[in-house]
Amino acid sequence: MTTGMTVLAGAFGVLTLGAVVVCNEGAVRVDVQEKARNGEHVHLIVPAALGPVAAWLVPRNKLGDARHQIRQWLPTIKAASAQLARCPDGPLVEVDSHREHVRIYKQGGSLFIYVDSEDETVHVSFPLEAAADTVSQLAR
Amino acid sequence: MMRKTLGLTVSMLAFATLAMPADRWIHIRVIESGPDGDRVRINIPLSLAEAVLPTIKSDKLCDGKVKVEGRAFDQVDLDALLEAVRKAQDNQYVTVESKDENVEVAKAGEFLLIKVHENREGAGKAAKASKARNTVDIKIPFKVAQALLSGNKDELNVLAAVRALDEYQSLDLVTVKDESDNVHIWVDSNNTAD
Repeated sequence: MTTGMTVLAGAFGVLTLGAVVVCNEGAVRVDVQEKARNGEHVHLIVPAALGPVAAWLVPRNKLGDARHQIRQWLPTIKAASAQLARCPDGPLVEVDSHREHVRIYKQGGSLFIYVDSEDETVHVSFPLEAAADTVSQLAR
Repeated sequence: MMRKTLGLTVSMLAFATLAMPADRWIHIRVIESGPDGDRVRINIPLSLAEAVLPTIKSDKLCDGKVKVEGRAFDQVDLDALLEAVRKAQDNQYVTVESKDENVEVAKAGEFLLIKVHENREGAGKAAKASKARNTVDIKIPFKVAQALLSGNKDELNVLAAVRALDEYQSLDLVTVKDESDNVHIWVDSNNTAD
């Protein structure tokens, strides 16, 4: 095997491993669509596995007082995530008014938040397990 | 031998699965009347409340107990009063009839029933013209009420009440119907409100 082939095989292996990790951990999805004419559309899909790593990289001094506040709620977030993860899939909160519609539901280990208001539609979803890990890293 | 062991294991697993109690859910449904009325439906597993409540440490809610302002329960030993009513025969213990509303407090089996029904005879013209009659129906198991009062005099033990609620398969707790809102709070084994 030539050196080039070895590097190519290594790169392929790393990519495959990365894909496996991403698929296993799921993804954080954020989709915001403003309803105004020429409104902005933000669409993000981030591998959930990167959440705790990104949170770990955030400089502690940048978080300031937020770290203390997150730490205070960390046990609650962890307990809620763990308990929600073992709940059957289904709607948790549904609000329908003439101004907005809100849905929060759990499906397959992830929490989905959907808001449709007069100004914008927002879709956010994240794996429950990764959310707790990310918050833990922010609070450390 | 191998077959017997496998069969026994499968049977035990099946029995354990059947014997495991299903998760209880508390449902809150608020429906505002009118075509533009807001609708709110909340479904929370009791196990979630049981896991989360002890972790909250705030001024008003700490370790699953809510601080009650003032000295609300100091004058009456509510726990003793509840126990006395629980042991008594089924009956309607309190009846208050006024111009505007009738209030009834009764004991039926293991439940404390509180009913507040608006009295149309004494109501104003506008209220009389309205078809809806304002009613509040509360049904609380004594076990839950006693668990709620199991903390100190100035607190309500919500966590203990939630744990006590977990024993009930299906239970209508609160129903409020008035001209603008329809509120229903109940517990069952379904994870959806409808």
